[in-house]
Amino acid sequence: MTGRHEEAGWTAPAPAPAAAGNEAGCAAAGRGRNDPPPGTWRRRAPAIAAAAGLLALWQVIVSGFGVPTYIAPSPVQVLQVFVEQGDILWLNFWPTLMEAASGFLVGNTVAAVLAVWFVHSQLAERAFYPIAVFVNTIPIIAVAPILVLLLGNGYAPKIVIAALICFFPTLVNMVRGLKAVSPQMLELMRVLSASGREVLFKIRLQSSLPFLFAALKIASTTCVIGAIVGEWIGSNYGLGSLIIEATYNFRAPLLYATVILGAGMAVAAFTIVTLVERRVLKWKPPEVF
Amino acid sequence: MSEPTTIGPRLSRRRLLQYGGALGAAATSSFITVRSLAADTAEVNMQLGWLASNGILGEVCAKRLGYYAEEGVELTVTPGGPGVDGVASVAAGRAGVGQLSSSPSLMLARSAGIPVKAFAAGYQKHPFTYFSLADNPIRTPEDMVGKTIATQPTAVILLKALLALNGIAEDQVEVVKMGSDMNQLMTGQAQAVTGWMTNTNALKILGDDRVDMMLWDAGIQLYANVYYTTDRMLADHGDVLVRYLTGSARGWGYARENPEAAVDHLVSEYRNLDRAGELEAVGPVLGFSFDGTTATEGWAAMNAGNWQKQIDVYADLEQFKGETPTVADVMTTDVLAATEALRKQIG
Repeated sequence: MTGRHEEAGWTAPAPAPAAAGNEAGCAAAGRGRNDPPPGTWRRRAPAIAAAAGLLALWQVIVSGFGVPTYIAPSPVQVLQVFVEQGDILWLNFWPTLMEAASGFLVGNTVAAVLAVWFVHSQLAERAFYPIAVFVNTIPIIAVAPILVLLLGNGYAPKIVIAALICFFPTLVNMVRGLKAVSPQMLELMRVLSASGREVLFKIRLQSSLPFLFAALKIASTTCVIGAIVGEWIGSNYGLGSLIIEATYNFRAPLLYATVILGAGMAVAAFTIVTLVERRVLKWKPPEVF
Repeated sequence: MSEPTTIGPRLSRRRLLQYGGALGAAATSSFITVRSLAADTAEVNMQLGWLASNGILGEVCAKRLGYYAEEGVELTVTPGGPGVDGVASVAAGRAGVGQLSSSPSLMLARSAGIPVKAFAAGYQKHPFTYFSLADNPIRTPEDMVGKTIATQPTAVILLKALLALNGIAEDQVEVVKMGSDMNQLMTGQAQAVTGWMTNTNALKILGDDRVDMMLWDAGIQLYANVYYTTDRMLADHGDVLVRYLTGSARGWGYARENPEAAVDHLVSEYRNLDRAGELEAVGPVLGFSFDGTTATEGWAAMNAGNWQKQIDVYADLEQFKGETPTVADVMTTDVLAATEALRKQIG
């Protein structure tokens, strides 16, 4: 158990044995089932150190070579924006979060429902799969103005754009996952006189989950990009709108801060999906991330 | 106005598709241009060609001070963005009036068969300017010979027009594309970059040894912040346009008298804008809005002769893919005439 701890730690039902001995073990002594396993900090330390090192290097280069702010602001200047213009950043954060989250929900739900339909109806798959591929190939930046024209300037076009971006990876993965059932298993279900519904809920959905989560991880970051791209057109608020405002008015530190906030939102969404995946897919060996 | 890029865009395939979509939408859907709320209140949606900025300083003041309400207009402002000049939205009837950064977009749209028409000009002079540095200055078009000029893709045509007007062969000037940044000038890759004189933040980057050559002064005279609408709107709801322009005129009049208070209204309405930057920009913005012409003809005046010259320049450069529009196609002075008395007090 102790030896495998690092691999199995996320879902281990029992607290870590105190015998682990090292500092990670001590830190883990009181942890519950969802706490990070021992060794987490040791594993993450290189990433944190690398990030801190890069930030320091960035600061040194910018101040050492006297790089003008409009080309590259220093990390300190960017941090100042978070402190001094935090209200503006948050004002623009919430609309984007709302659009990204709604787009994520809508896009993935539609994709999952379609995937189930495709698996049950070859006709539907033949008819609509190519159209889904076609829709996916349309550059979002070209379709965005048309969506704004059709749906107005509210949240709707942004949510649709975020949903469109989420839709395709989930559809492809979900179809693949629903079909990734061994013929023997289907044979067995048939022998047991299982209904189509039972096959779907007891076999196919289970087998599709790892595929679904892989897609959701992609979607969790791209939905934020979708919302931001949607906001480039016709918004007064939202991170996308703030990016345009900052870019064209040469407010470089604000631009950097906005981009960092957007990236933070995407990373947070990714982390949430990863945590949910670990809870749901208990049988699946955890991944490196 | 901080918009540095879209001036005289050529009709790209994508834009044509957008326009096509707009026309289709106009034909099939039930978009409402003007909705009567009460018996004497009309809801007007104003579509911008860019983000909300100091280009609508007067409109924001009029809205917040109740000038529109007094005229029986309820105004909503819809921003545009990069690649979206809003013409499609106005053509489709989603917005009743629009404001375009530069007049050529309107002429090109008209030539492409979109029934839109200008009815007022926000800036009397277009603030589009060639910026160079004092150690290698460009003060006249002739100074461009043998130099590299960086300009936005949509503004290349203006440079060509400028060179043609001054009898300079195109191969004597190297033209490179730029985005919204000024780096090519600062790093010496180009001897001039282009942008709007009202973009004070950009000018700050260029520093004190900046040399300006405004496109207008060099001979290509375009209007900026053009107010436009559709033929149908002019025919069916001309009275609403008159009320709208009356409110706007009063708003701009207020901004002229109280620049600082106007900026406060602007940044309260659009909190992403930077107050300090807007306070610096308000001077130039008012300078382009009010000049000798407005002193005699009133705020937002424009004249047919100037429109004809613009059409000629674009026609000579073979920019119209469809028919070359006439002055009557692209502009009307009806709304200006109906608001003349008030506008003259403000100009």
